[in-house]
Amino acid sequence: MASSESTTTSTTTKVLRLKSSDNEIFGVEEKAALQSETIKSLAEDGYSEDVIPLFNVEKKTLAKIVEWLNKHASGSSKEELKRWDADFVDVDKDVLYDLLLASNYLNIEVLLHQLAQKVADMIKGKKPEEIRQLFGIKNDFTPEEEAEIRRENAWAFE
Amino acid sequence: MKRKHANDEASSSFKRNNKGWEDEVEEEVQIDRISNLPDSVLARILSFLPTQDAVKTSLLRRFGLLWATSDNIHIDACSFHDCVEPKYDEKAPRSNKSQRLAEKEMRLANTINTWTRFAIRREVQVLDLDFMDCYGSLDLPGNLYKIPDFVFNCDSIRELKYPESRLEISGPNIISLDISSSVGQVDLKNLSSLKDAALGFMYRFSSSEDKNHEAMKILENLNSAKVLTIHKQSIQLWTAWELMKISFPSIPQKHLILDTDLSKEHLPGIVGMLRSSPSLEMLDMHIVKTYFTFPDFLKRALAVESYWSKLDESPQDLPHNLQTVTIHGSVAEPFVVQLVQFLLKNLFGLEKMVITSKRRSNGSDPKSCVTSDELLELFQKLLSFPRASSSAVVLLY
Repeated sequence: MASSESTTTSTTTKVLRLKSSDNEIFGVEEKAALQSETIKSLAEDGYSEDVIPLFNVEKKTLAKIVEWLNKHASGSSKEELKRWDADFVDVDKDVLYDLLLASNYLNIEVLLHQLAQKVADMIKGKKPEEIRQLFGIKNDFTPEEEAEIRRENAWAFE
Repeated sequence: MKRKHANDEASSSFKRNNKGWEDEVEEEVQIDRISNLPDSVLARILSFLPTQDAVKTSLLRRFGLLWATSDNIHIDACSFHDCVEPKYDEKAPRSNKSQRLAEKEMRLANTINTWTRFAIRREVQVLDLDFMDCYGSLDLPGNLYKIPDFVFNCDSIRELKYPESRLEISGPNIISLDISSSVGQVDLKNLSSLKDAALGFMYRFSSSEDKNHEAMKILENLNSAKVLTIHKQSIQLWTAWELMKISFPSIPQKHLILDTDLSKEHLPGIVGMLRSSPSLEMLDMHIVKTYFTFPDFLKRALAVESYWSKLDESPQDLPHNLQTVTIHGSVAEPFVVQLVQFLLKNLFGLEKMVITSKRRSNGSDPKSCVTSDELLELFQKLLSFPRASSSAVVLLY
């Protein structure tokens, strides 16, 4: 479906209203919104005429998610989407976590995949202490515990 | 405390951590939010990492053993030993060197078994043991790594891949076995549950008796299979055996599948195979075009033309119970007609021969399709061929 079509017929396109946890309402075309399995099942449960409450997503995150849903329903070319997605996930870590949690909750498989890939790319090739530092994870292993884990998996740590 | 860190960046916070600053300072710099993600999300992140990177997260308490829940675990055998040729102390006595090498190989075999056991516990479906990564091959003890019995007794494995080293397979629970290797590298034992067996030797004929003997031994060990598939270049073996009048083991199966090219050099192999399959009731042939040709020396040595003309003169003792023959794939190949003619003339028990093909259309692979004209020509020829069995029906699609 071409994007020009959807704008000319927008008067007849069904719009779903999504409500963030902090009560902001976003109107999203049904076609775009249904990329989320969670919204899809809520819509099927009869919420579609009404506002669909998304208790776990704040408005700043929902705004980003809606942006993604719209872009991925716009009929953009594969190459353009690829560039756009790379920009989309290029955000600071806090936004990344919010998006991960939201896409997990909303069950948007493609987005979840992209975000997880992004975090994986950040971890790739790093030593455990570098990963801890990157994500602010405390090292709560005793030196003995750490030595034991390293010994068990020596092949990976060499 | 805030004032201290107003302009801090990640790199400077790392330095502080290393110096062992107190915890509150660390937490103020960055809140650990990744640890609050659900298991499923963390596991998914890890699934995008090479296994070796994913394992390193076992040093982060929140991640623990999540890496091991990944659907796809790749353990690099190179990590278990030196990937470069081991350096030896030239002055050390020779016996010491081989001793050390043997110890290393033993350790390696143990490690591989530990991981294999882990995979089996996780109900692995595809187990790919590839020890060829490093410098050509890995010298496992006696160059014979025995796959442990628990692998063959495992219910979940659908596919087992093993490199071209010598392999010993003993598996009373194995139902399906596909051997695609060089002759002489597989030892088969106790395959009593075998239902489907496939033989796809990557083999160029050698006149060495040993090699022929090895191939025949493998064939005999597949006797318990209900269905036998012969594919790739294996038919070459039968051609060589047939033309050089080497006696070969019979095929006891009732159902035989041939997945093969069909050149004139293949015909003697197929005839020989059929003559030695006394119980055969069903023959399925899938004709492919791979343009594989027999080596020239073999063509010269075998004198295929004279074989075929002699064959035409005398009736052949083909399996009497062979009732159903199906041929599909590239059925317009010239030697298909010759084979069909031969089968119709010599199969007394034939009830049904079904020839199917894919019609050529836009986008289809021309290698595996036929045109309507080719099909019509084939049909007209078929009508004119004499049939040994008066009740034989020939269906052409």
